[in-house]
Order: sequence, then C-alpha cells, then structure tokens
Amino acid sequence: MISTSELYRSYGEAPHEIAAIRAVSFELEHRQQAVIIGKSGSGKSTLLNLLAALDRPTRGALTVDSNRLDQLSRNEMARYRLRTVGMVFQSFQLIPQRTALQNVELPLILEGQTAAERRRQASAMLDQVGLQDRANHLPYQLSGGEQQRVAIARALINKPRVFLADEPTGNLDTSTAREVLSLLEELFDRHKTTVVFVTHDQQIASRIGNRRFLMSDGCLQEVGADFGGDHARA
Amino acid sequence: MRARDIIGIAARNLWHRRRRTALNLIGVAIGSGVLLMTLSVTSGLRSAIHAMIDATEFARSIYVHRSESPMQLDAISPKPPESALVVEGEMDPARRKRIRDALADVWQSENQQKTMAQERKRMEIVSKSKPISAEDMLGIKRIEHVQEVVPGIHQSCRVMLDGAERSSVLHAANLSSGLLRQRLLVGQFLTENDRDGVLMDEFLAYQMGFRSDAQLAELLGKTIEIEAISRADTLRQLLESAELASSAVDLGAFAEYVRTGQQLLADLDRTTLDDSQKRLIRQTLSKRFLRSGDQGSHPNAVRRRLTVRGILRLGTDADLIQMFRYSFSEGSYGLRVVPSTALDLASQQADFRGMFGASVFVDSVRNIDRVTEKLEQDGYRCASMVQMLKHVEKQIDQGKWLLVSVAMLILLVTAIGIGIMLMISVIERTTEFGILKAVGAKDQDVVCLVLCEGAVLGLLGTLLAALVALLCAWLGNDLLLHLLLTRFNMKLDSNLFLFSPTAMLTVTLCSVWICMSASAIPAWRAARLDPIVAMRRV
Ligand SMILES: Nc1ncnc2c1ncn2[C@@H]1O[C@H](COP(=O)(O)OP(=O)(O)OP(=O)(O)O)[C@@H](O)[C@H]1O
Ligand SMILES: [Mg+2]
Repeated sequence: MISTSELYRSYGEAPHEIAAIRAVSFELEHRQQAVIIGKSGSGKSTLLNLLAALDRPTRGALTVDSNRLDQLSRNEMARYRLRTVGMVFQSFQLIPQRTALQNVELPLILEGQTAAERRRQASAMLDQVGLQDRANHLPYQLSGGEQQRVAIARALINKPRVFLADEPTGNLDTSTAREVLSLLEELFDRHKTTVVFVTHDQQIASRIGNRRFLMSDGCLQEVGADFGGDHARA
Repeated sequence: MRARDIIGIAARNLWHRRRRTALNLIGVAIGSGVLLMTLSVTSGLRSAIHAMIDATEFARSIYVHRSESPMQLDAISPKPPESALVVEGEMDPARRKRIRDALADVWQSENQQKTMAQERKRMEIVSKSKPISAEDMLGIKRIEHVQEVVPGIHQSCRVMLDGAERSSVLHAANLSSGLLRQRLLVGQFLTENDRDGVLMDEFLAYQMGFRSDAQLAELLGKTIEIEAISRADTLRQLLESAELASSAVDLGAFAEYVRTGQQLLADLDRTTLDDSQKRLIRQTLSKRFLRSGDQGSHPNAVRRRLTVRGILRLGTDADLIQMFRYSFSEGSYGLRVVPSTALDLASQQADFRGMFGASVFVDSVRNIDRVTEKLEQDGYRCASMVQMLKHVEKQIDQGKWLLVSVAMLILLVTAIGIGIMLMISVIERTTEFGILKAVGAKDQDVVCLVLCEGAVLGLLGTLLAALVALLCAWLGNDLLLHLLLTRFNMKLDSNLFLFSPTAMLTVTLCSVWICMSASAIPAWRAARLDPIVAMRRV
C-alpha cells in the first residue's frame, strides 16, 4: 500500500527554489497498477525516486507498506530498497563489467545468499524474461530490449512488493517496446506487485495499469482512461 | 554481504585494473620486503653473535671481586707525538703496527697526570675491597657447574735477562683459554705442571732487545729472572711521582708533610690499624721519612727464575679479545705463568692479602645465570658477558630501527599511491557504486568493498615480499658472511636471516593495516555517493 500526503520536493535555496513536486497526495492499494504520464520536466522521476527511497521529500509524509519513507535512516532506506522495491530505469543501469547473470544476482549478493542459491534463482529469473541463453553475456553484447529485460529480472529477483518503472521503454523502438511491455504485464500478474509506471507515451499508458495519473508542473491528479483528453496533449 | 563475496568482488576489481594493481603491489612488496629483511637479518645477526660468543670461553666466564665501587677507567687520553712511536728493526708490517700501538700505550701510561689519577682510583678501590683468598677460590671451585677458577693475579715485577731489565706484569694464565692459545706466535703453550715456564708478549721481548723475527726465536728456552715489586714500593713510587709532578714545590708545606709523616710513623702503634696495615704504612713511609732508600732491589725481595716457552702476539683491534679487554682487567701485555706459580710469587710478598678478583669459568653458557646467582649469594660481585651482549644487542636494535623507519616510509609513500589509485577507481566506478546503492547496498557494504581492495593489495604485496625476501636470504647469506669475515674479521657460521612467524605476522598486519588506512578516504567517498547523481553519469 502506498500513501502520500502533501508531498513536496524542491531543489535549491529560497529565491531560486525549484519545486519539482508540490503537494502530491494519493493512495494506491496493494496490487493496484498506477500509470503516471506527464511532460518532460514535470516531476515524474522525482516522485518515483521518492517512492524508491533514493531521495527524501522536502516536506510531507510518504508511507509504503507501513514504512514511513520520510523518516527512515540511511541504512533503513538501503534495506527498504533491497527488500521492498524493485526499480527499472530508462537507461537500464546495468554494471558493464558484469554478465547478465551477475547483474541479476546483485541483490542476492547484498542479501548474503550462497553462490549456488543465487545462481539458481537468477537463472530462473532470466528464464522468466526469456534470456536463459544470454546469461553469460556482458551488457554491451546485448540489445537494448535484452538489457532492459535483464534490468527487469534484477528488479524482480528479490520478490518486491512494489515495482517502479521509470520510462522503461523510453530507449527502445516501438516493436521492442511492445515486447517488453507485454513481458511486464505478464510479470506483474505473476508476481502480484503494486506497480507505479511512468511514461510520457500515451499509447503505452493506455495499454497497462488500472489507475491513471497525470503529472504536470509537480502536481499529480488522477484522470480517466483517456488521461483527461486534450489536457494531456496540451 | 558475505565476506567471500566482498573479497571476490574486490579481487575482480583489482584484476580488472591489473596494470595499476601491479604497480601498487610492487610498492607494497618493496616496503614490506625491507621491513621483513630488517627484522630477519637483525634477529639472525643477534643469534649469530650469541652463537659466536657462546663458542668462546668468555661467554662462560664470570669475573668475581668484592670491591665496593665499580671499576672505572679514564677514557680520555692525550695523543702521543710521532717521535715516541718509531719502531726499529726488520719485521712484517702487521707486527710493526702492533709494536707501534704498544709504544703509544706506553707513552700514555708514562703521562704522569693520568697514571696518578688512575692509580689513585685503583688504590682507592683496592683499599676498600675485601680480597679473595686461595681458600675462597677453592670454595668457588666447589660450586656446581664451575669448571675452573683463575686467580686475578697481576703482579708488578722487574724482568731481567742478559743484563737487560724491564718492568712488566706477571699474570696467572688461563690454561684452558682458546683465545690465549691463538695468540702464540712462536714456541709452545704452557702445560698445567709447567711451574717454571713463562709466556712473554712480543712487545716485552722487543723491549728486552729481541727485535727481529729471527731474534724472537732465539728467546725460546732462555731463562729470565723475575723480581716481584711489592705494593709498598708501588705506593712509594707514587708518592715520589706526586712530588715531582707538582710544579711549584712549597718547601714549607713539604717540611710540614715530612714532619707529619714522621709523627705518623712514631704514633703508628697507637692507631686502630691492624698489623698488616701498619706494616704497609711503615714500609711505604720509612724509606722517605726515616732513611734515604736505595732504588735498587731489596735483599729480601721475592725472586724467581723462569724459562721462556713461547712468545704471545699482542692483541689487535681485529681480535675478538679487544672486545673484552675492558671487561676483564688483563690486557695483552706482560708475562703469563701457570696459576700456581703466580699465586706462589704473589703470596710470598710481605703485604700479600689475597687476590683482588678471579675469573670463574662455567661449564656452559646456560648455567651462567645460576652460578652468578650463587656467587652473589656468597657475597661476591660478578661481571660477565651478559652486560656486554646487551650492549651489542642495543647496537643492533639501533640499526634495526633506522631500517624499519625507511621501510615504513616506503610503505607510507606506497599507501598514498594506493589511496590515489583507489580514489581514481572510485570516481571511475561512480555509476557502478550508484547502481549498487540503488539496488540496496548499505553504506558499510560499499566501505567494505573498497577497504577490502586495499587489504588484498597489502596481503598480496606482503606475500610477494616474503617470496622475494626468502630468495634474497638464500642468495645473500653467503655473501654477507663473506663480507663480515673480510671486513669485520667476524667469523659467523649460522644463518644470518631468521624469518620468525611473529615477524612475518607483524609485517603482514602492518602492511595490510597501512593499505587499509589508505583506502579509508576513497571508501568513505564511495559510500556517500548519491545514487541518483551517480546513475545519471553515463
Ligand atoms: N538535482 C536537481 N537539482 C535541481 N533541479 C532538479 C534536480 N533534479 C530534477 N530537477 C528539476 O526538477 C524538475 C522535475 O524533474 P524530473 O526529472 O522529475 O522530470 P521528469 O518528469 O522525470 O522529466 P523527463 O520526462 O524528462 O524525465 C525539473 O524541472 C528538473 O530541472
Ligand atoms: Mg524522468
């Protein structure tokens, strides 16, 4: 369950202060899938980073599964990132010197799992994203779509209750994006996670999710299936 | 995170940058190598010196006496002029040098001021000490582990041969001494029952007119006459030299001095002095204050005829004996006879009260402490090689600390290098650390990863150093032994490099610790990276 109230995140000092997020309040039940759409610079990534405990809000309360993210210590934030959320990024964020398998097992290393157990789980996860035969390839040997699948496998390996996706198809061509999207839809169903999905692409947004939000100028509002029609396009 | 994974990741990262890693490893290896070699060579040298000294009889000897104050010698001595150091006659250069050194010694002892001061000091000590009797010596000999007791007899005497006369000192020789035996230049060594035999030093022979190498051989088998000079005579001479030495003689004061002396002699029986002390005063003062004494020999002086069996080489600086010269009062000059003859001659003196000291030889170095303890219980004061060894060890330790600081400096410079390399590596891997943190790595996980890289460098460097050091020790041992033999005349047989497990462990811990300290700043920097900022760098 995610709930925020009067969430603010601003950068810089008083006169030149830029508010990336202003007074964001919303609630998301467990296993609900939210899609956030908005223009570039509207604050989507900022909100997602707050939900991932990669960043702290300037003001306001943020609760994810009974964790008050705005009150956690550095170590607790790290622990939350490891145990509760899985996240994928537009630019994949794989470690270039490590193979697909090694990238996927990273969270398991941090958990302190044995090598054999890690190998087993990571292989199974790569299987789920259809990359069983690419396990020992380095990121530069994989296509963009394949790299994003590795990132998805890594995000899901610790069975997170919350899945965050920041424009996961932003760097992919249309057909690859579609493939990745269907994979994600399938995995969301299988892993039964709460999802927050950020995109600026309407077509993608309309395909997935059961709740839709529009982000503009740091403000978030829930909209209907067509994202408020003209408002989004403007 | 598991320790194994941390080490694995650290090792992989080091391998990824192998060229930089290799350079750092060389630095660590040199530093800890120097450290290891220093520790090993000092402990090797120390045990080698122990072994060397243990092999001589000095290690097994204890000098015992009963004096109240420790023996002191004047260290400052004036330099003799060249004219006093001319050596005449054909001889090999080494011998010429020894004679020349001896001439310098003679000049020094003829320097009135110094002789006076030394003699006064010696007299002071002698007068305060309780002598050691022949019976005491028998008692010491009965102590367990004691092998031999050589009386400390150093009898001043006049030596006469073919009309030539010289004053010298007659010592009781330690017949079991290997060092004394080594000094035999020509002739034969004394045997225990050779009560009439004598060994003469080459300088006395030179003074007696036996100068060339050929003349030296002629001396063997000749009979010399010894006349012991009593202590009273020595004291009298001392008083006379004291008068001569004072430049301005105050006649009034001198008359007063003579009057006091006469008074003292007249009233001697009323003092609390014991008989032997009275005899000493009477003998000393009577000649000066009652009648003009003849400078020649006494009719009742103790005399003895002895046959020259061998000539002893003087000690040189190269000899080990020089190291012990001041610990044991006997130098290398003079005559040497078997202990019983020396005791005979000394005890016949009217004023003989016993020996000032004696040398006790113990069966094994290991028993020195035990025997010393027993002797001290019996009221003797003891001096042995133990102090000497401590001094040598101090010297070695000083050299050690110098080398250790050099090694530490090398390690420190390397550590700075490692710190810089890890800093660069952390900056290069900003994205990687950002990803690690985003995925859920705690600050301490990241710190551990970087610190571990430093530790692995330190460990591998020490390992490399140990291998190189063992190789160097294997190759360098013979070279160093040869150097010690040719340059310092030290013959050592043992292994000069001793690698003790403690030293290995110390060096390893030391270099690992230094390398880890160097990684602390990069580690802290990596841990504080903001994952969002770090990941944005592509
Ligand atoms: N570290 C920062 N310092 C200052 N301003 C920042 C920082 N990060 C983001 N911003 C500002 O906050 C606003 C929101 O940025 P954000 O990255 O959330 O936008 P976004 O909606 O994700 O845009 P895009 O679709 O282009 O990714 C922007 O105006 C941006 O300039
Ligand atoms: Mg964004």
